[in-house]
Amino acid sequence: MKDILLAILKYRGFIWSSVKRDFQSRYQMSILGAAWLVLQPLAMITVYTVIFSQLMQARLPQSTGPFAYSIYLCSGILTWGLFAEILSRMQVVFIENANLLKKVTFPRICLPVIIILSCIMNFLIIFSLFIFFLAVTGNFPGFNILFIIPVLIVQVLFASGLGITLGVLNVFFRDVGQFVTVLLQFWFWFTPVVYVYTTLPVWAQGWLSYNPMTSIINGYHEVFVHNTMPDFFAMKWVIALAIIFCGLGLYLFRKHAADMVDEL
Amino acid sequence: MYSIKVENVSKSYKQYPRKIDRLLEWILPSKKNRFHEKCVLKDISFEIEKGEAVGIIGVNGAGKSTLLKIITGTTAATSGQVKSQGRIAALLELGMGFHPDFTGRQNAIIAGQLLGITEDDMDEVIRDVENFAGIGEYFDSPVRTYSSGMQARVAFSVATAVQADILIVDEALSVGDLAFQAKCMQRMNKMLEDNVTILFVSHALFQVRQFCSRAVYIAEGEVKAFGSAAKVCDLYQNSLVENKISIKEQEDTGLIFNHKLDPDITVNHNLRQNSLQENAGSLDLEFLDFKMLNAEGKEIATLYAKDKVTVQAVIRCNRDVPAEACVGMLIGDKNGFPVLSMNSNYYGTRLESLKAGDHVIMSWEFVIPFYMGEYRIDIGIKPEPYSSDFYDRIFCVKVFTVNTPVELLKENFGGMLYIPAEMKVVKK
Repeated sequence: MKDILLAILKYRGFIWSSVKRDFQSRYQMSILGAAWLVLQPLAMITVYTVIFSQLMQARLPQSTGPFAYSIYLCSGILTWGLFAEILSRMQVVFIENANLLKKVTFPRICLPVIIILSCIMNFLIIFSLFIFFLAVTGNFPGFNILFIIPVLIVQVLFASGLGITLGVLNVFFRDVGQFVTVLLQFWFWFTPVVYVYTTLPVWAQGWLSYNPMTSIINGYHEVFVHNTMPDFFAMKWVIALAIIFCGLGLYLFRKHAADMVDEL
Repeated sequence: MYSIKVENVSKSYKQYPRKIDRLLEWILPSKKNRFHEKCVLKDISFEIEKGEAVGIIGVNGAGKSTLLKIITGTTAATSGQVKSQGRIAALLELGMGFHPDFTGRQNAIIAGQLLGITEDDMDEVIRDVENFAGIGEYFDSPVRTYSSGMQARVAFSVATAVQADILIVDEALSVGDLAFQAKCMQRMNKMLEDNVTILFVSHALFQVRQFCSRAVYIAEGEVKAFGSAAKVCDLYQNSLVENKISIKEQEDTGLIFNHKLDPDITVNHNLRQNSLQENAGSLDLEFLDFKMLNAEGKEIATLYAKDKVTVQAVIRCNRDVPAEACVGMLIGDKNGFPVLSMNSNYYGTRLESLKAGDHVIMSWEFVIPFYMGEYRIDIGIKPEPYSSDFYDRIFCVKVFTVNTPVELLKENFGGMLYIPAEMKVVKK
């Protein structure tokens, strides 16, 4: 563990400039540039708002104000987006960098770290716009907003642990990559991002509570929609899973890092 | 003090008969191995001194690149270990792992960071890379728009921009043009002077001879020879010819036209491996074999300046032909530029009329006029010297290398030819 941290520290220059390059390369070739960062989730939010809020008349129970559902959606979709981006990029991190891994010697742990940091950076940009929107419409949750920090940390750890596990597995079993794409589709609809958890029948709520992401997303909803403290107790499973997957991921990574280059 | 020490290094790849087997092995607690091992390197050991240039030679697939990867550290050895002193800069398989979408400059920066160049030194290093690579404004275009030569230019420039303690170069110079190759050699010579250890894989054996003090010859994953570069290269090149003969002998058995022949009438089925069949002529007269023999009558592919050689072409007559046919041989350099032309009619020799089934052996005996270089031989046979038709023609029937005598090499001789000349210092 210590050697991993030392390696990250030593190669921080490479990591940081890779994060910057990742950001630039994604947007510098396009005309609208970084605007796409906002346009993509904005389009998604518009679609869901129109379909669910207007057409289906889905209102929040104890609805407060015209923006309640939009806030509900945004707080879920943006954070889910962070989760999905980390997961889907982590599972191909070694495969996409095969060329580099085969030709240059450097601590391989840098690659997942670059992905995590660049996902977080993208997220922070778009999330700060969301906060700005909250402030403008008078829905800023005040000091309660600080509660999302531990929730975000748990979520990023969970996604990173699961991501690096899948990333290592994907090198040896390419089925994993296909599976993750399908999994994320199901997982999204199995998580109360678009619909409202409390409006579900009780049996469905029971099923959903097995989903580790439910307690995370509910946590954001509690802060942004209800302006209360998240239910940290409900997050005990996801915290445990985050620790387990981080451990498993690092174990697999260390054990198979040497074989990985031979497979790529 | 050693710079690189390779100790009993072996490498084998795990091969699973079915994809599912690996999964089973990971999941099931049993210790049973479900893979079979494919061995690519077997018990390799050698030691390289600091400031030494060592060449690694061998045919494709012998395990040279795998060995370099293990020394560099991108691949782990299955057993054994490699010890090395100092920073390694490696140029493996013509690249530094460049990202196709980034520009040459961006890629150079990434590579520099991975080599451990600090922020403060980066500007200067990148300027140096840009100058040395000499690809002009392409340096700021995405690498995917580069030719392989341009990529090699940038990669070599980056790998050598910072003074490492060990430089590992895997066939980097084979794609660049001549001018860049010369530039690379100069830079590597400079590095040698600065006591950098250089490990160098090349199929251009004259480079290995010229540049390396020692060489490792690897065949089928094992060290066949390790010693002075000239000796190891000789061994390697001559073993290539021997291999060819053994293949030839195998294929020879069971030939239709295996009647009681003069033992000199040999057939080589690899004769046309580098030549297109449509370039051959009417085949009324056909080449069966082509040999280059040394004074002892042994077939060779490498020789020294002033060696006396005998070149023989075995010719079979398939259809009756009139007299006056003549046989030509053209020795060209690596690029195919003709250097020496030796047609039998220059020497007053033309064939008599021949009947189908006849055999002729044409023999040239001469002293090699070259002092160094790699050459190829094209051969042809025409009905008469001024005809534009060929009975038979084979391009690149043979490749051979001429080595400079050690005495001249020590004087840093660098030409293709050496002539006696009267030299004196003349004062004004």
